[in-house]
Amino acid sequence: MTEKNKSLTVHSAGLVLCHECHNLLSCSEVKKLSSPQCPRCGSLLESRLHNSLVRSWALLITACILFIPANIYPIMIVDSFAGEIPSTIMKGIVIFFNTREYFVAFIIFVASIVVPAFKLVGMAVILLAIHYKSRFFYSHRSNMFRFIQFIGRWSMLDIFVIAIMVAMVDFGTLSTIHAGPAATSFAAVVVITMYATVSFDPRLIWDY
Amino acid sequence: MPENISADDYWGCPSCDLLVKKTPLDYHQKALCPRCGKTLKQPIKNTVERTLAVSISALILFFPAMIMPIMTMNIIGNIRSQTVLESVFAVFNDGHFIVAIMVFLTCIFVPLVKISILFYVSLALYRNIKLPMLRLSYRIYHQIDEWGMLEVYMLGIIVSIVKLEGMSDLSFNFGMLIFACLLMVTLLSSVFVDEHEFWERISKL
Repeated sequence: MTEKNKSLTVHSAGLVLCHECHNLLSCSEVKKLSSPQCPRCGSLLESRLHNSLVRSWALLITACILFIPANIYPIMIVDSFAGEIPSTIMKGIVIFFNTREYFVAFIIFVASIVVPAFKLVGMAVILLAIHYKSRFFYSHRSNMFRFIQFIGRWSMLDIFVIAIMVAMVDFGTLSTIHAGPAATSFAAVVVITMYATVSFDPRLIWDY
Repeated sequence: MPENISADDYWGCPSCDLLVKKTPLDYHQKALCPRCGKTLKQPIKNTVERTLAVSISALILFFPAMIMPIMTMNIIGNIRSQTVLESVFAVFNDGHFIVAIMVFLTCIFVPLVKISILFYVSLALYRNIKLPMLRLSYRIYHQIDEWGMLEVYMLGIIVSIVKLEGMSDLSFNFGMLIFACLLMVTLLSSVFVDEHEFWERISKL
């Protein structure tokens, strides 16, 4: 293991790593290229993803703003002869809990509230640590980022459940389910946080 | 700046930028970055042949899985079946265009594009033919890799089943089995792809 300030990195050795095909190129090879494109895959060669911090912050703040209407407005509206029953994400979880479907309540709670909140807080922690040039817990932050990338897609669970329910429960006045205004906000939160993880370059964590 | 570093002897970690000396790897052995733990390389045996087989199966299963009804609900004689396509249209008709487009993209469009690209690329590599736009299509595959969410849809089906079971008489159709098979095959396809091997062979074509 090398000392902290003397680790041999791609950047310190003057090499370039293609971010799509992970091809390692030396200075002389790069100088021979006519355009800054990787010879193996054709993508633009950059030592770090351009404007990574700016884009990640912008997307993260947008997602945080959209998270509020996603939880305040109803995500599902059950229309029956007894009238309209709107339910927010939290209310849906509570209903599951009260009908003793604990496992499903837990799954939806994790997928719709814990996971998005964790993603937003986790990305904020990583970005703030980079801005304050903190030296704490590098590998933990790297692992957390990889975890955030992995769980990002699972928040779409609630959206798919609603899509299936809207398609299935369509019996006219007997019982009809409609999607509420929070559905769009919630879908937007999931998509935007996924984009934030794509536009963030994890090598910035180690660039103290 | 050390001048004696040869780019051919090292791997660069895409997650923490460390230079790691290359070691020969046997099939199914993994090389991990010592600093951040990211998988640097994992050779997979017969990757092109396996990918080709799996992508052909996925293409065969795809259209039936999207068109055949997955489950049927029966409330006092009113029957309602549902396919994946129908769930997209239902949300669309409900007025939520963005949600409908998102479900369409993540569950229908992206998985189809992914398995088509895998079929195209693995066919070209298997037969050693230089087909047009190989590099571009493989790049597109990696960019949209995380946007295919068929597993999440499956979990959504399971949760809906639990929700709807109390309400009515629920029964499964054959489409459920086809969808489950499609899901398994798409998961296998992402396991069998060895990026390093594919890129090396594409650049040699």
